[in-house]
Amino acid sequence: MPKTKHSAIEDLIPLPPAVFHILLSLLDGERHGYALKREIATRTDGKLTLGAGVLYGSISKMLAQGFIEESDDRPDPHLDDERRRYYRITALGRRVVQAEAARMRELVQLASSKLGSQPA
Amino acid sequence: MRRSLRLYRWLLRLYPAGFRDRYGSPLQQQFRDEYADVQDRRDLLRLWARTLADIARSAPRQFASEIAQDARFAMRLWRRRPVQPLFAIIALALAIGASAGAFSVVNALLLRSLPFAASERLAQLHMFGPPRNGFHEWRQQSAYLADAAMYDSLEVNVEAGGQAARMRLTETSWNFFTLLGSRPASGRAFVAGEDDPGRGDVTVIAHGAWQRLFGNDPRAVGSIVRVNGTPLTIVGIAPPDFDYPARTELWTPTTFDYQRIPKTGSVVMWTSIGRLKPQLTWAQARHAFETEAAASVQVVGNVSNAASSKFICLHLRSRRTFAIRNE
Repeated sequence: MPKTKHSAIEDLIPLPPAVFHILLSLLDGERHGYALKREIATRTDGKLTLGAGVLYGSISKMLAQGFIEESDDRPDPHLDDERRRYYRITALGRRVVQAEAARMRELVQLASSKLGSQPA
Repeated sequence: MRRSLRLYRWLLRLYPAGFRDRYGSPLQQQFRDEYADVQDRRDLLRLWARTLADIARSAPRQFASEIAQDARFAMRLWRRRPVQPLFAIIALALAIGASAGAFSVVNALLLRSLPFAASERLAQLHMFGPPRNGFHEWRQQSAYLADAAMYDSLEVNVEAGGQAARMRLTETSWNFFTLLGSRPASGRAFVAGEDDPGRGDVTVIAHGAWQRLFGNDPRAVGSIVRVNGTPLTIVGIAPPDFDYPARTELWTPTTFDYQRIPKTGSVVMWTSIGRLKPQLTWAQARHAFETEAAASVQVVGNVSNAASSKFICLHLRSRRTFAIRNE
């Protein structure tokens, strides 16, 4: 079991954008690499398009940190290529993505309060 | 598709082996998926631009990540068994030190050239010496040497610039610097006739000695130094890296005028150096030298000198290659 699972959540954030988006996508269920890439591209209007190298580099790091794990459940072979690897979010991954979202929310609130007080 | 996939597979070699083994298959699968969306040539170009940019971004990151991972693993091991890495570090330090030391010696002796023009063509005439009287006639008539110079070295007392010092003086024939192809950094070298007995009243000073005694003052050229009490005029300053032979700091053209510089109790050995004639090989020159040395024995009758006469290349690197060629 990776050592980082026991680390304080605060030590694990902020997350790189790719990692945050991958975790967000996995909140909805298991995904394979290409599905993650397409979903993230769609969600961000093409602003974040993960190349295969960056995507699997992030996946490799997230597996090591214990944010995600590889899933043994395979879909129906008629529906998908069985050579694909599927990933799912772990409990730690959930806590981390929630903490990152909270951090961002605080940041946005702080920025709004500052910017809101300035004349337009 | 097949060509593109083959090229992509080849490009995956840019990733570390561990990453490639773990994710090579899904990476190729994703490339196939993206290729399936390609409609025309423009899409294909875009796909390749994206793919190359992705590899350029992610491959260095993966290398850095693997190195960091290896370092963390090594540190954990070291903490657990601190003695073994300590031995490894000591062994490495000793090995690196020994290698650096050996290279310094090899570099100084074999690789770096002497600060002379075409130093691989310079020879030292060991034991057998040309005649001191009529030396210049001998060198001009030599069958195997284009030029030759003679010198002897001794320790002397020097007074210059209000200071006194013990220095190594080399008495030379006038063509010493000309033969070696070394021009003084400032002033001039010796000129023909300056080694005639009764004349040698000039000297060339080493760069380091000039800095030490005259504090880099260019007016040192033209000033007087006293060598064992004999006044000599500095006519030149040697180049910075020139101290031949044996860390010499002063040169005078007095080798044929033994009494010119008073000497106390030291035995002076004369040495001859020469430059091989062009187009002559070392083997040919050595043969000619040995013939001449043997002939001089018949005249002089000095058997021991002839037996140990040697014709040695001044440059150690060439001496070594010469020795190999003759094995």
